[in-house]
This record gives sequence, structure tokens and C-alpha cells, in this order.
Amino acid sequence: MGIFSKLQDKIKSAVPRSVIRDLSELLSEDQIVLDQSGLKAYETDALTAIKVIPFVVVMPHTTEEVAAIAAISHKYSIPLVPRGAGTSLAGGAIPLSNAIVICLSRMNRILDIDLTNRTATVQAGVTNLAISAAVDRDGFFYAPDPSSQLSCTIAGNIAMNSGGAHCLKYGVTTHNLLGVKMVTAEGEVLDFGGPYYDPAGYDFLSIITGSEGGLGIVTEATVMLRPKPEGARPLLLGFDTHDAAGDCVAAIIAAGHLPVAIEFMDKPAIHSCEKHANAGYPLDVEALLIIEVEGSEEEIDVGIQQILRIASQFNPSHKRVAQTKEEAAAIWLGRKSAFGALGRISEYLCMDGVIPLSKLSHVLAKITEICKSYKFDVANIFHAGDGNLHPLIMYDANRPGEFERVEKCGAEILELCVLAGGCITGEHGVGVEKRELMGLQFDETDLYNQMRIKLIFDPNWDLNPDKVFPLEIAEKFREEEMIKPQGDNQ
Amino acid sequence: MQDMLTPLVDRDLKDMIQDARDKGSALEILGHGTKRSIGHYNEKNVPLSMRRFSEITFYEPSELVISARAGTPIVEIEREIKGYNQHLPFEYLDFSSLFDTEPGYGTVASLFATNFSGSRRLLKGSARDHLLGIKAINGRGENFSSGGRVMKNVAGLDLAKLMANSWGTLAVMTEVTIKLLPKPPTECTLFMYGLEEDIALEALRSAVSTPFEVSGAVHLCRDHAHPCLEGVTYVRDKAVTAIRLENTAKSIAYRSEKIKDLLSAFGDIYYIDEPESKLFWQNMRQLQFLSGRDDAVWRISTSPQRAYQSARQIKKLVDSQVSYDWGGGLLWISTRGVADMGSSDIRRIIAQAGGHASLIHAGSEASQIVSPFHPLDPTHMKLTKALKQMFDPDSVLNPGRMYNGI
Ligand SMILES: Cc1cc2nc3c(=O)[nH]c(=O)nc-3n(C[C@H](O)[C@H](O)[C@H](O)COP(=O)(O)OP(=O)(O)OC[C@H]3O[C@@H](n4cnc5c(N)ncnc54)[C@H](O)[C@@H]3O)c2cc1C
Repeated sequence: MGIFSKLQDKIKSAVPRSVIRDLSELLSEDQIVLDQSGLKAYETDALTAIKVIPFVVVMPHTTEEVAAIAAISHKYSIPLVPRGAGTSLAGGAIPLSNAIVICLSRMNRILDIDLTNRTATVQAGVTNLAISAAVDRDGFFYAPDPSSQLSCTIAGNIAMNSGGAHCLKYGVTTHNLLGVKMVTAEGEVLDFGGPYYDPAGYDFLSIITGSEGGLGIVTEATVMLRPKPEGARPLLLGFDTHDAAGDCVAAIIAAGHLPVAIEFMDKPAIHSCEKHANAGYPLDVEALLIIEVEGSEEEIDVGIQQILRIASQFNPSHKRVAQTKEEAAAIWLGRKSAFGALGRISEYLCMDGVIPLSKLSHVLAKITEICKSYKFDVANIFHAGDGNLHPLIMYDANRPGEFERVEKCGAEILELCVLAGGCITGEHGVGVEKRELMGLQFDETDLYNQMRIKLIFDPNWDLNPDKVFPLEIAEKFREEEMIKPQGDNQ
Repeated sequence: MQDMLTPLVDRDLKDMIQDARDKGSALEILGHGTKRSIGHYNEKNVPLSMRRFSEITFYEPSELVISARAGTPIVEIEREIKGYNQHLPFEYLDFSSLFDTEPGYGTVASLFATNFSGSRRLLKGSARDHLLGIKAINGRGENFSSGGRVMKNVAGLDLAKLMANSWGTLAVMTEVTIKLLPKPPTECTLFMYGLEEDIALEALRSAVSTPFEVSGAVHLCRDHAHPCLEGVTYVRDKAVTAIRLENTAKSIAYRSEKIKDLLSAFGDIYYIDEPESKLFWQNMRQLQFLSGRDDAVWRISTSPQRAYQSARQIKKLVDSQVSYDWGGGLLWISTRGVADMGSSDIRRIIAQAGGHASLIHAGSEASQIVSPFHPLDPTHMKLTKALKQMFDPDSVLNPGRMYNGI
């Protein structure tokens, strides 16, 4: 942490009171949080082990206000941390002590729904599920479905390039986003894309998606809507070994089937989810697959038969197809509340590595080994179709030093994922959590090529400045390549 | 014409880039050169072909992923994945008939550098959407990589997708990793003949709003339809509206009935079986409907909402023929006998509607007078220049191909 926090402390001592004066000239009282108890609500996100009380929190209502706030942060060169619902599991929205946190959750209006274009244009603070809810009756939905969809915002989804269980078929945020309105660090308002495919010129949307609040503050988004399938039905397949479950998934895909979702849970995950949701999961299996098939009743029947036929080669010890809507809902509720269910048992660190499917059983065995060596229990949830693995490492947050230990354990797991041919994050993002692990996946030149882009949008390095890039490399980069702001002698 | 540089390994390419930087010259980055006539041509740039970077380096059918060096022929990749019943789902465009060049050429990296996706883009996404990872060398001569061989990867900025539509002006891709999909078991197409444009678009809109996963939704005007219908139906002299379904035989039988019911009010509907359906969409992908004519050709991405009105306005001002793909979101316009190929009118109208117009083929007129790519507004131009500057500060990679200096 050294260099950067020192740098930040230095700036902090210099946060002038006039920042508050400027902000209060711009915003009404109820848009500014300054008191300690109010600020405490913003000290962390879903990576609760790290807490930092910010300098001030502001809640804009309009793009113009966002631009003016950015201009203020730019004028004083103090960090600006964008925030949606604060559900980031990577600490993407964790403040700095000298930061203005700009929380977009009040910008929650749906601006336009155009069913001819099959697009929705919404303000940044609209929740993921609210988009689908708004077009549900017309037979459409917004496809990426993070389990946090009830609360997470579209801007948070864009910042993290979020995915969900049904992304196997429909893609993640980057595949479903057509346009954004974004405010730069200097307070300039930019539009990218629009209600049409494939923007002109360079594909800026591709780098804005997943930029974790480091390139600009998204204030509006235009997303693709898709027609809802006629129906969908999940089936459960239980196996005695991880191997058999993994091989079954590979065989389904190799046979040319791409179900809308293939989810995998190991025994500890099954048990805690079942306790929580009463989904009827089998408790005597080592691995459980939830596979969802879409279409008309008849198409679903055919699809399920085909999958069962393939699965039978791997001797599933449990097979059950949801017979009713309620049963289907319970199966998904169990899966989607997995994080919550485990959270009731213990504090956990949720990892988000991706691995090639063929390495599944090797990686799972290794994960168990690694966690054992740290004396942590672990439950594994896995978007099996696309290789995105969520080991939830359980630890005792009240014991001093445990968080550092669990972080180390997690880092070993992510290193394992990279060595297996995968990556350190499939959908949760880097944030502060995996910042120092970026070196597992990228060398310095790779990172320089990314950081140069940040400089274009954020020349003073004010936007969410301590996220994504390893601190020392970022510091070195800035020293070498950043144009020092005029009159700045820090 | 200058001698073509043909690097074999990274080292060669880096040396060539360094050499250009030292001399203050620039390189024209090419694969097989099949899209060489799109965009500005700058005769001062020394041609460099990546065609010897040719090898499939990794293929894992059960994970739907393939990696290949940049210059690997697309046909080679298709041959390899066909054996596993997989395909490149974005239905890339083949310009050979339009440019009257030999078919079957094209290198894999160019699919992404140019990001021309065909009719199935509507359902399955663009070339860019299927680019999982890259290795590349930028104009500073630096090797960098982004993404990987797994389906999901959100670590850091997605420089792989940034290469889409960058036309070799930011970096030279040396290897790409692509997401594949299983080939649908079979397909069929529903045809309607002679519909008025606005009615046709309404029919397409209805079809693509159903849950039946329409994977192609086009309306070809009478002039354009003719060459695409060759061998497909005996009807040749009418506009055609086509809706494709791809899935199992049972499923498309069911879905096509549903869509027929839905669209019955629009007119008679003809069921086109797999072989003819395949031929029709192959003709589409090969742009047969635009070939063999002396017209200028525009490709315009816009919102389906505004497409019809825009096309109407354009037709009023410019002697032109209009067809639609992507359920109305893509216009193909051929213009004839206009000094600027219709550029100023077309671009003004499309700018108002939202979207952008690229000049794909300049016909007999000189393309130098018209910017092939849609001009950017000053703010975007500023960012575009800044990005170019970061990746290629000495402007050695394809300068001027896209825009002045870019
Ligand atoms: C129980 C639970 C389940 C989850 N399940 C999933 C899942 O299935 N899939 C998945 O992908 N994620 C999942 N997540 C993670 C999280 O919900 C996502 O990352 C989500 O997109 C964050 O949205 P948010 O609105 O909460 O953003 P925040 O947490 O507030 O912020 C996230 C990041 O976005 C940036 N940001 C926020 N607003 C803006 C803006 N307007 N402009 C620019 N940057 C901005 C922040 O700076 C930060 O870096 C889960 C989290 C929880 C707690």
C-alpha cells in the first residue's frame, strides 16, 4: 500500500474546505453527506473487510450536476470515486479518505423504451432488474443477470462488465450495451454509441465497459432488449464426483448444445443453499448441475431429453426436471441466493477466477488442498458453461490477521486459475481486491498500454485512482508518462 | 507499387516497425489485402502483409475456443472447426464478388480489425463480440496482450475488443483467440415478395420481436434481390423480405408456423427449405446483391426506428437503391451518377437519425473526395487522435487509412 497511501495522505491534508463550499453552491443539502454517521454508510461495498470513510458523498440528480462535480474534483485534483449500489465484491467502490464519492443511485429514471429498436435508455442508477421489469409485459428482458440484480445498478454493471448465470447464451454486459453518456474526469460530457449496432470509429464502448469507474462517470446507458423465451425449465443432475459433472458439461457442449445456463455447485455449496432456499437439492451428491433449457414446452422436452441422454454416460446419481413454475423458481432461488446463504454461515471471501472447463476437477482438488493448508472451509459455485469459478472461502472476520490470511489463500487460488489457462476475474472486476494480482495475468507493458488509455480520459489520475492497477506499477507509470498538471508540485 | 514486407515472427515485425520509425516512414498493414479498397489508400505507406503469421495454435472444441496467428486464412479455420460442427457465428462478409477479386481469401485477424458482421449479427452478435483475446505489437514496437482463451475475463481494460474496427491503425495483431458456437442443425427461411418497404420493415420488426430466435431479417429491394434469388426461387423480379430460422428440424417447423401465423396479414409467405435457404444467405454474405454493378455502395448502421424515414429522405435526394439487414438496423444503399456518391446528403440524414455511414465501394467515381468512414465529431476526433497517439505515437501503422492522420 505504501507509496500510494502516502501520496494520498499528502493530498488529503490539502483538501481545502472550499471544496465543500463549491459543492454546496451546486447541490441542495440533501444531496451532500458530510456527517460521520452518514458517511459510514459509504465506507465499504460488498468487500466489507475493507472500510474507509470518505471525505464527502454527493448524490447528483442530473448529468449536468455530475459534470459540475467532476469539474470541482478536477479543479482541486482530489479523487472522485463513482458508486452505484455498492454491491461490488472486488472493492471497486471503496472510497479513499480524501475522496468525493459520487453516488448515482438517485439517477434512477428509465428515459426511453423503444420496442422497435429493442433498446432501453436509462439513467445510470437504474437497477439491473428494473430494466427487465419495465419491459416484462411487452415480452422483453435485459439479458445479463447478476445474482445481485435486484439492487445493483446498470452503471455498476457497465463498470464491472457484469455477467450472470444466463450469460452463457446471451453474453455479458459488453455484448448487450449499445451506448453510454459519460462524464470525464474534467467534467466533459461525452456520448458513445446509441440505439444502433457497432459504433463508428474506434470502439470506445469496449474499453468503457469494465473500466471500473476509472475512465469516466457513466450517467446514462442504452442497452439491448431481447424477446423473452416462450418458456424455460431447469433440471438438476447430481454426480458422485466433480470429474463426472465437469465431463458431462464438456460433453453437452461438444455435442453442439448450448443451454441458456449450466451452473455447478459442490457439496458445501449445495448444503448451505438447500438449507436457505429449500430448493429440493439432493444432499448426498458431490456435485450438482443446474441446466436450464429454453423454448416452447415441446422444444424444452426435446432439449432436456437430449441432455439427459448425454448425461447418462456419466452416471448421474440424481436426476430431476422441474415440473412446475414454482419448482423452477425454487431451484433458481437456491442458486441465486447462494452468496447470501453462505454469508449466514460465515464471513467469506468470494473469488471469481475463470478456468478452462477441461481443468475443472484438477483445479477443484487443488483449491481444496490450498484452503486446507490455510485451515479454511470452502464452497464452490461455478458458471460451468463458461468456466467462471466462485470459490467462497470462509473465515472468521473477528480474528485479527484472518483477512490477510484469507487474501493470501485467495491469491493462491487465482494464481492456480491463471496457470490452468484462465484468468483472475470473470465478472466481479479487479477493484482493490485483485489489484496487486494483475501481474499474474499481465506484464508491465500490457498494463502500460491500459494505463495510457486512462490518462486520455483522466489526465490527473483522479477517477477511482487506487483501483485495478498495481499501485507501484501505476506510480512508476505516472512518474514516467503523466504530464504533470501546471502549477502542481506534489 | 512497393515491395511487400512479409514478417514471419514477432522479431521481424518489430524490426520493420522500428525501421519505419527510424526512417520516418509508415507501413500499410495487410492480411491478404481483400479489403484493401475500403478506406483511404495511401501510396506512401510501405505494404506489410501478415500472411506468413499463419498457424492454428490452439483449438478446444469442447470449450468452443480457437486461437490462430493473425495471418491464418479464414478458410483454414473454417475447415478445422467444421469437423466439429462449429462455426464463426457472426457470418463475416465476403467482399470478393463486390470487388471482383478471387474468393476464398482473407486472414483471421482482419475479421476483427474491420469488424464486418453479416446477417446473423442480429441474433448472435458481431465479430468483435467473439474476440476473446489478442496478442499484438503497437506502433512503439511493444508486445502486449489482452484477454485470453476463456469465455469470461474482466481483468483490466479490454484492449482486445478495442482492436475491433481499428483497421490496423493502433496495433498489429499477431494472434487472435475466438469464441465459436455450435452450428445449428438446420435452417429454413420465410420469404415474402413485393412488399412495400415500410410494410416489410414492420413485418421484420414483428418477426424479430418474437421468442423464435430469428437469425436473419432482411428486405432486399427489387434491384438488389435479383442476383440473390438466383437458384433460390423462380421469382426474380420482386423485392424480397426474408426471415431465417436456425435450430433443430422440429423446432424450425414449429417456429416457422408460428411466424407464418403472425405475419399472415402482411401477405403470402413462402417456405424456403434448407439447401435454398443456405444459398440465399450465402449470397447475402457474399454481397451478391450489390455486385456486378458500377454503383457506389454504402453500409449504414442506424436505428431500425429511423431506418425507413432516413431511407425515404435519401431516396428523394439521391438516385439510389436501398436494402435492409439486421431487421432494419443496417442499410445497404447503392447510388449512381452522383458527384459525391450521395455522401453529403446520406451523412447528414444519418447523423440526424443516429448512426453512421461507410462508403464501401466507390464505383467508378474517385473515392478520394469522400471520406470512406463516417466523419467523427470534434470531441470524438480528439479522443481518436489521443488513442492513436498512445498506441502509435510516430504514426507508423496504417496512417490515414481511417481518417486524416488516423
Ligand atoms: C450477493 C451478490 C451477488 C453478486 N452476483 C454477481 C453476479 O452474479 N455476477 C456479477 O457479475 N456480479 C455479481 N455481484 C457483484 C456486483 O453486484 C456487480 O459487480 C455489480 O455490477 C455492481 O453494481 P453496483 O451498482 O453495486 O456498483 P458499485 O458496487 O457501487 O460499484 C462497482 C464499480 O462500478 C463503479 N461505478 C459505479 N457507478 C458508476 C458510474 N456511474 N460510472 C462509472 N463507474 C461507476 C464503481 O466505482 C466501482 O468500481 C454480486 C454481488 C453480491 C453482493
